[in-house]
Amino acid sequence: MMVTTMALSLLRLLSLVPFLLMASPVAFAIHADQDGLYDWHHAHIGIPTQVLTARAFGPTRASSVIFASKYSSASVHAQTGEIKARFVMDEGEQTTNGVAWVTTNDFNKYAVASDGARFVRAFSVADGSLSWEANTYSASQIVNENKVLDEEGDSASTTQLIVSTPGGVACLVPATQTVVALTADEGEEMWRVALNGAAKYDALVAAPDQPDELWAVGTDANGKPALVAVKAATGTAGSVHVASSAALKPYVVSGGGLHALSADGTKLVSLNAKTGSTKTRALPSGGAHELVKDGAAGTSGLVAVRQADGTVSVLDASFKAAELKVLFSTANGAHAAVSSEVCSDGKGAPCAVAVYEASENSATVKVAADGGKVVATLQVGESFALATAGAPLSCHLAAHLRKDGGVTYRAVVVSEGGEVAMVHESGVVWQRDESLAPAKAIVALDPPQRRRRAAATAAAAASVFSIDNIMETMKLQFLQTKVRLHIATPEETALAKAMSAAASDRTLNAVDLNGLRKNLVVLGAHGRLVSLHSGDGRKLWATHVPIACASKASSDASFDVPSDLRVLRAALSGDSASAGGGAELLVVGRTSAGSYTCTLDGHTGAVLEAKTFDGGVSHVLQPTHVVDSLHRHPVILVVRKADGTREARAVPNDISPELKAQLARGVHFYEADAQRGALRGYAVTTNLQVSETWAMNFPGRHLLSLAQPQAGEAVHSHVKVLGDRSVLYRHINPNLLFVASGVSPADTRGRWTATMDGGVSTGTGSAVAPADASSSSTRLADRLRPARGSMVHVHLLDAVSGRVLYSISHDDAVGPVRCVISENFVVYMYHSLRHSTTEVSVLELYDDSARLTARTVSDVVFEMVPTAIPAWLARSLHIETDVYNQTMSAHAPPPLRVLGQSYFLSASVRAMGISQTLMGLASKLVYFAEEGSGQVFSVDKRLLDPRRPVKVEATHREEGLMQYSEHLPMGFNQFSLTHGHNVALVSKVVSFPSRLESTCHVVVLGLDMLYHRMQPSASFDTLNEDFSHAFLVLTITALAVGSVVTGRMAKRADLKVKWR
Amino acid sequence: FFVGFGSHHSGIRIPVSIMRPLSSVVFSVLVFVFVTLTPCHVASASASSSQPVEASSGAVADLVKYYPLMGTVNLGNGRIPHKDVRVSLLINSGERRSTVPLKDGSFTLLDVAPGIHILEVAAPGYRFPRLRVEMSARHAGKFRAALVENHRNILPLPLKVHPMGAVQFFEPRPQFFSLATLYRNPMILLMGFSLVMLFVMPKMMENMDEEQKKELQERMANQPSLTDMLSGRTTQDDNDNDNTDDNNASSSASTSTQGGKKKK
Repeated sequence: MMVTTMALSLLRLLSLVPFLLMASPVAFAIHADQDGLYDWHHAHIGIPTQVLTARAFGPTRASSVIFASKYSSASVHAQTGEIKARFVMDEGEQTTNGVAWVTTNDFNKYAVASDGARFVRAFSVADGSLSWEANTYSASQIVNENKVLDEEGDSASTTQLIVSTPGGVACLVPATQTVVALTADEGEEMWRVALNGAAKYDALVAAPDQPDELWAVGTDANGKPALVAVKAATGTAGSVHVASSAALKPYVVSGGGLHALSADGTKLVSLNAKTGSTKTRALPSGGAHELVKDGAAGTSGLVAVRQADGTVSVLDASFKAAELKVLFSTANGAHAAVSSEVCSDGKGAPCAVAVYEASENSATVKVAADGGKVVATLQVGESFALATAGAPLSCHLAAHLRKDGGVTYRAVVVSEGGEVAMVHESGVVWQRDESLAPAKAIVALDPPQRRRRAAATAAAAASVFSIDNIMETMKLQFLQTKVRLHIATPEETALAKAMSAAASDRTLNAVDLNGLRKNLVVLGAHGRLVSLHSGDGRKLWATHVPIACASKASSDASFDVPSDLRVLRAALSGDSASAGGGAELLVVGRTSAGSYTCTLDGHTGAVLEAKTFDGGVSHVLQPTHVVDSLHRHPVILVVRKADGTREARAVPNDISPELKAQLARGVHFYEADAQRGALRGYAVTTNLQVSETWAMNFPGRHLLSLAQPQAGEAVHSHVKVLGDRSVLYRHINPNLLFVASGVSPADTRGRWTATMDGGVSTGTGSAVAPADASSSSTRLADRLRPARGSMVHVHLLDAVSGRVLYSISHDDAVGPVRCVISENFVVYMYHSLRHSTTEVSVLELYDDSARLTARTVSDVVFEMVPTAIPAWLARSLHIETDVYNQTMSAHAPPPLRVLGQSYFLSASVRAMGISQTLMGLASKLVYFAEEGSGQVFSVDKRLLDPRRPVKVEATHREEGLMQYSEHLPMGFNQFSLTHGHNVALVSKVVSFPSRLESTCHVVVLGLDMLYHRMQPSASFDTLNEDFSHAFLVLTITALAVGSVVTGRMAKRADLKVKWR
Repeated sequence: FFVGFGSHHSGIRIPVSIMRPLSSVVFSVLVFVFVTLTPCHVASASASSSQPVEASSGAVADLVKYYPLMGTVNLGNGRIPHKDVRVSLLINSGERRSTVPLKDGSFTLLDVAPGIHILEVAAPGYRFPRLRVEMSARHAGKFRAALVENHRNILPLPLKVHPMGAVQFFEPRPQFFSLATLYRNPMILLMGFSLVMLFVMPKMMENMDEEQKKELQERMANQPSLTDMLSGRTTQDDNDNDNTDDNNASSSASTSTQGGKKKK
């Protein structure tokens, strides 16, 4: 009896703790003056595929440089490198087909073509506003003709489809094989010409030597280059010239015609645009070559070729010369990119070509003019060295006439790793890092150990004010007190903010006790790795994984190589860190030939070991809680060989006993074929053998979303005490697999594969088969929207056994489905056709086995504190003490009780995430990244509780349950994580715990990157960073003085009374 | 029409224990405001004007045509910078297309397939309603728009989208030493009342009759002290007080002697 009473009171106390932590949902909002204190935001453009500078001699200098990438186009301030205005493309439209100034002699407007030049948008350079938008052809043509556009790779996005003309812009539409000219002011159609002929045209360029002519360049059926000239003013097309022999892409237009390399790469095939004659000339150096895209193209007829060893030569390929002459060559082995030729308008200055050359340790831009003479050398600096920034990608030269008649050269250089810089003759003017747009993977590491002397110097360097000076500290405290009392002037407030930022230790790169400082290591495109400091977002180090770099240089493979980043060893504390036990990272990726792994030092980025092997890595598995004697977390790579078999490899190579023990139990993974709706489970067992364990098919459906819980997540308690003192037991399953299946648009133009009757056809082939003429129009119209009766089916599986734990279907719903899993709940969203809005559903899993439900509350309490009871007592009382260590078999799952509820959400969601804290005690926040606005909102998990009652009773109130309302409040006050910052194209919302339960780190990845230090349940274990100690001292002093004075006064008054 | 929703914040630090019920109240108010304000904030004017995109020669005549979708975003007389506004359309629950309004707030989404679409407008610091747009294939791209939450209430054309209100990203700082803060806080009110009573009570006592004062003093003396309460004598004493006058008299006598001592 006594025991039960004690237990009950203890349970109440324990259940009180989360309630105490549950502040209001708005409690974590920050104040306006705290903006930027705990968060930073980096805006990106993406690795530029095209760059526009005012490429003219003369006094006109463009104030902006225009960048276009796969994802966006932007005008960037020419002096500072800041983004002035940016337009981000939508997912279906993500192919920029070039940028061009609107009209040839004007730099006030630029036009961007996207989606195969279907849309052309013109923006003003001055303020970035949209001037006009034009549509060159209707996609209905393609839909009606049942055409399926070939999904071109990234090379398509780099082809130029738009050029400036004297009256506006002209663009080539590959889908309809027409050239359309648009006016400068309104974007109206000036003329339209159909390019007939056997050739397929895929690029449009301005003729180098004729200002009023445009050349459409393509390939005929036999792989021979073809060219047709179109008059820019009238749109009349000339005759089609086809080269006499087949040639390799890319084609370069330079001088009076088109140049390409012969199939073996040893000869240059030149097609004369005027006469249509073909000239084939042998390249001066032997061996296979590669033509540098746009390299040296201009009026002089130069082309640039790259040899197998990387050496780049600029050749004179004008039609007059019988043989090719080398004008300029880079140093042996240096990687280089060559700009187009820049010429004056008859002012006497020579034509010039810039060669951006990168070696192991440095990079330069050499400007060659007048027959290959180097007239200027621009130093790009160490940050563009091959090891850090990767091989040169492109170079853009601009030249200006000085008043004294001389010429000034400027260049914009772009490296493969995504470093972009504006270089003057005096040096680098600005530099942008676009490698993290978009980021692929992120890990958080503790900063290195603090070495006393180093830390002191770092602190001195980081702070503008010497805070060691006691006077400065006093001044800061005084100012902060003034700010607190609202008597400070705006200048003083700003000064206080600056001083406290300088005095703050959050920018220090040393490990801290509370884990508030982190090194965020982000993997970007092309195997580029960047470490950022969580305090202010500054770059600590950047590196280029060498194998990825080497493979890229040899072949122009696709931009997006699948890759992953893992922490092999977290930073250790104490002596072990100094004894070579520092943080270690593992990068895994694919090369054109196979795969690579690379281990790096987490704090310096130095490469420790790099390896290549055959076959593509399909899965990177890191069993949780498996740590070897060297504190490393081993990784298992699943490699798919060319013959379709799978094999596993362990990193580090030697299998530790700990990993062996785990392998004996099996390491499980799954493989999904989203299009065919197939799911297969595999297990890696002893001796690293891979075997298929289960398979599941979803015939006729696509897999819309798959999700698993975050590995190693902290769960505070496995029980949930309800208001009526009953207990629910959470079913916590780290192998839970969420699968959503249903219909999805078949292509980027939003055509659906579903048929009329709600049944779903199995593939695009049968659905798109043309029907008879009478019914084709209705069938087409219906294919534009998902069929009524489309459903989203949700299955919760066990990834080990493939067993279905729970299934549910949502009527009249379609994807995309986003999902997040944490503890014992699943939150997912889909689009409801019936209500034309987003629906969010939550499922909570509880263990309903009799063994658990038969237990009393006191049992639970003792199990929660197993160490408190001696073993002999537990035995005599028949209490199970090791409930936490009890595991359940995936092959015999307990009966489950699943609670669910759905809500409406008035927003489209791109990505979801969940907050992760140290112990999982603070309330959980679910992050929703909104599609249009780029805002990330946080919604308290309690709002998503499936037990929210329609009528709130006393027991509900005690439990903290809110009344059910069908709409989730989102988008309004103070729920925003982004505070007005726009994070474009959000792909992931990732959370890392700190060493304080109250605080977690949240990183939003997308085209942009946002970091925020969050407190999901307000700060209950730490003081605010802006807490005024001076004010506290002042208050205590005032109280002390007051008490002394009043004490004296009271004494005197008392004496007076006594004397009366 | 720019409604800020920040007024719910009382500007005081509320103890955690009363935060929870209060937050739910704040929340329901917020939801209520959201629901009630939504319909009345989308106003508009007259008829639609949309012209089909010229179909090229290749297409068969009776097939599906695509049309432009036009409208205007109310930028609040330039308060919302037009280049930061993004208008996006979810076309038939599949493809998404976005554009930016021109300086006057007008926008055109080109080449839109007929069907049921959702129009979303996003601007930093403001919240716009989501609209359900039905575009007809039969009537050459004529469309009608309604709120997603309320299909039946068709909005007049041309389409004009107004913001629902400004979003407040930051929690306002509580005003330090504001009178309003003081008198709203129940703890301060309690303290203030007791402080007032501290000064007023003696004055009231002075104005009392001697007899009344005596009676009061007696009653005060009879009140159980804290130690009594803890030792459980309270109920007994109370019973005694109620039942017998003798006890009462004796205790009053004792208090009077004490009072006498004090007076010395």
